[in-house]
Amino acid sequence: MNIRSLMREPLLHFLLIGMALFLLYGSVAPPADEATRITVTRSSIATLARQFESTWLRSPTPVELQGLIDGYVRDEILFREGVALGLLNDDSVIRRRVLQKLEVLIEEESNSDAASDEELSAYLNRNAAKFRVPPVLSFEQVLFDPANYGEKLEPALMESKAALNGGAQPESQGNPSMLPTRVEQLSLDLVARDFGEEFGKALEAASVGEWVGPIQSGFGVHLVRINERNLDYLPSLDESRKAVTREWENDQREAAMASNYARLRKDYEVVLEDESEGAATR
Amino acid sequence: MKMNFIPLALNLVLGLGSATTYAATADASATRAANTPELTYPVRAYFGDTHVHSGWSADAGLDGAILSPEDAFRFARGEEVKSNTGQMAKLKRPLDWIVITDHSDGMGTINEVFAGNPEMIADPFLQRMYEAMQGNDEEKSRAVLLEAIDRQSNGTLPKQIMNPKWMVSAWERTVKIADKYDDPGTFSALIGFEWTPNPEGGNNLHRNVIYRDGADLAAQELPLTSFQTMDPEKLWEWMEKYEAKTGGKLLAIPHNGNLSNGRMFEETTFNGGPLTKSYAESRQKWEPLFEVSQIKGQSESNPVLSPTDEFASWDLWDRGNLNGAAKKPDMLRTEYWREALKSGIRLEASLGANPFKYGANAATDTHTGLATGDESNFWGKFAGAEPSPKRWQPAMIGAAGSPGVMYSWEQAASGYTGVWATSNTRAALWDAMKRRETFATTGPRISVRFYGGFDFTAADTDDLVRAGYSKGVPMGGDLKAAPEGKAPAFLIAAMKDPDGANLDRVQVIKGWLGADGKTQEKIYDVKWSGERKPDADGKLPAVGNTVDLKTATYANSIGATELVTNWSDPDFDAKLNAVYYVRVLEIPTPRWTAYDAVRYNITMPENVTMIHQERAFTSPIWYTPN
Repeated sequence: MNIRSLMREPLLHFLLIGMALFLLYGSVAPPADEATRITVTRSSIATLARQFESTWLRSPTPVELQGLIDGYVRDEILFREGVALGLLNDDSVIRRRVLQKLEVLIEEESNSDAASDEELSAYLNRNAAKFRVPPVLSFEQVLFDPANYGEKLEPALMESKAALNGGAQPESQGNPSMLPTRVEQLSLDLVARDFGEEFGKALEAASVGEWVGPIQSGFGVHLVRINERNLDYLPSLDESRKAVTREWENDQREAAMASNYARLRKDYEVVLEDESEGAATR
Repeated sequence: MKMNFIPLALNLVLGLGSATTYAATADASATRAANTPELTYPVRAYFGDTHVHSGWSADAGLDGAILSPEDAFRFARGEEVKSNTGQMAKLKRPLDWIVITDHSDGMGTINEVFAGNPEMIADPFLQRMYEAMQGNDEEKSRAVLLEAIDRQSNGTLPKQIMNPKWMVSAWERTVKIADKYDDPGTFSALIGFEWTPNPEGGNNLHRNVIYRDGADLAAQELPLTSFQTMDPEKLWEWMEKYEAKTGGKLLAIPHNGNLSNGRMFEETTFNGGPLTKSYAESRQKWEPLFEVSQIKGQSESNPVLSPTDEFASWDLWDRGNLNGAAKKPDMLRTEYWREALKSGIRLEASLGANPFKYGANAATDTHTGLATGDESNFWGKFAGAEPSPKRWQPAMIGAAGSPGVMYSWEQAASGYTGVWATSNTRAALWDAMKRRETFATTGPRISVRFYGGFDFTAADTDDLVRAGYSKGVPMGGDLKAAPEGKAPAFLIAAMKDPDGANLDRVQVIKGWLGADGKTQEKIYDVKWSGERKPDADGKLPAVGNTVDLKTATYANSIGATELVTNWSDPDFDAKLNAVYYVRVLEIPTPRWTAYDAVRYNITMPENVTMIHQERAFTSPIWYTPN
């Protein structure tokens, strides 16, 4: 069948007329697509009215209600248009929320088996810094509130240090305080917690067995005698099993995420635009 | 006044039987706890947060929070985590303990269906599942189960169930995660949830339920939801059932009376019936503490109720309820803790029991998983309020310009609870909360001691803690009828945050029931820094102000590092019921808005508060002569 005979074919005429009518109808009829239809249900109108009422302690007037509905419609249209423009992709909060949902699904799927003792021991040694038990100290301290001494602080400290080294009781020196004069077997992190960070740091390094100072704390300056300071140490697996298992599991979880990502990543081609060389692909 | 805490404690263990009521019930499973001597009374306040939401809370999730309970525990322990907006977040100092309290409403599919959540049972299959769960028909239950398996494999489960927001085993996972992060002696991870009733649209009657137990017990019962009931009495019944079934222990802490539009301390039952002795006894038994301060403002005091208190106007969120519905003036009276303490002793006179016998705690109620109470490191109420140059601007509750609106800059970077526990374990912390040996702070780690008794002497401040426990009762306790001719004395000691600001003053706030049946209150300055003298009207001059807003800094050149005193009530009347608590004020410091202004180099309008005085409140001591 050549073109000329085709042009005389009645069926073709019929199809062409149909197509023309379809196009014409499409241009004049109202859109029937879900994406461009907004239904404001009776219950959403009631909700809008209730919200207004709880804020302003009265019902909206008909004009105000129409305003609320117009606002609702406006939000809906702008949201849909924004989504169509891909603005969801630019929103870090929404992006992270979607990522979280996916991560939860991945996490649910990746049921890691319990670790063997060998694995945990190796993990403990590899991450020793994380699990070291802090030093434990026993010490005595005397507080001097600088506000009570002014210019005389320095001589008072010197005098008191001499007295203490000569055998004076620490309770007889310095200013009275709620701080304990004698502290037994307290972990260094708790020393810092009770006396302040600066004081904790100083006691980590101060010499043992003699009165030293002045050492600054959040409460004033101190003379301190450390009587005992155990070294920090790496605990055995039995001693630290719970913490090691927890951190190991956390690492496994993160590793599962990473390997899952690596698998997904393979299916994507990523184009990095480089300013000097145009496009580079990897 | 030398204090030798540790040797003293050991002496008491060996020698003084009277203090054995404070024996620790430490879980000695961890090395550190096992190495810690069992103490007869608490030597250290442990700081933590009773009220933290992760991204698993439906409302937090909807606002973009994605941090899991796991992240929230790691953060509280002092680890660095990535925030909901992708910034790195870390506490300056770790907390000692924390309770993650995700909302039970919307926590997981199964408890939703079980509770008959309308959104769930709108689906015919879930309706059948709901009916099967309510009934006793085994055949029906099996049919539903088979149908569920079938639908699961065909991918035809209702969309409500498929939605990952209902993490199917949310509760089981929640309690397991808490167990994983619980390290007795070092860091306690307590199990909890928030029960969230909002009757009349936003009248806040929320309670946090806190477990003494581990996952083995907590997992045996799904948390109560507000779809099941909004009536606090029903919550207490549910708590009683849980304890009977599992042998575990629960307590509940109400919060945000300030957003309840008059309902938190209403003097009727939830349904409007009269209060009874058994209501008062139940409330007192199940609810030992009240959250007086958090990000959404304080519920401690209100200037309208306490017009003579010059420090009552702080962190006020008193314009409406949780949904921004405007407040009427007469609602205030039944919203605040101080007023409730006074009403409680009035009601006790007629009921025979005190319905409002609340100790004090504070929390953040953050919905970010990041429990930050520090002004210089404040991560906001919601993911959208995490640090950014504009975060102080938007309305947080209600519509801008409406009567009940609260703006984001009005968020309080508050607070934490100090717990006088004998060790850092779930059991010891919970026991201390139960006996109300707690104090609230707006964030700083101020330590406060408070003891009441009739036999204290002036010398007892030298040995305050031992004297306090051996001759009196600590915060949260009761004093019975005074011996002939004696007035109660109070040993009080406040210490500044070791890494924070100095203290301005210590006050005792007294409420009492007059002979005329009306309640009264009075505030006493009992110890203050420096050489200030009260004026002719008894008013103590202000401590001064060292805040430099250009740099958001302050100096400890004013104020005191500790304030210790032995105070007795000059207006004591042995016949009248009374309640006493301590308020400690810091010197003025920059508010979080001031740190933001410097950090982002922005200017905020003049009505934005930039300087404040942080504070601590102890649980009360009650004097009940009859």
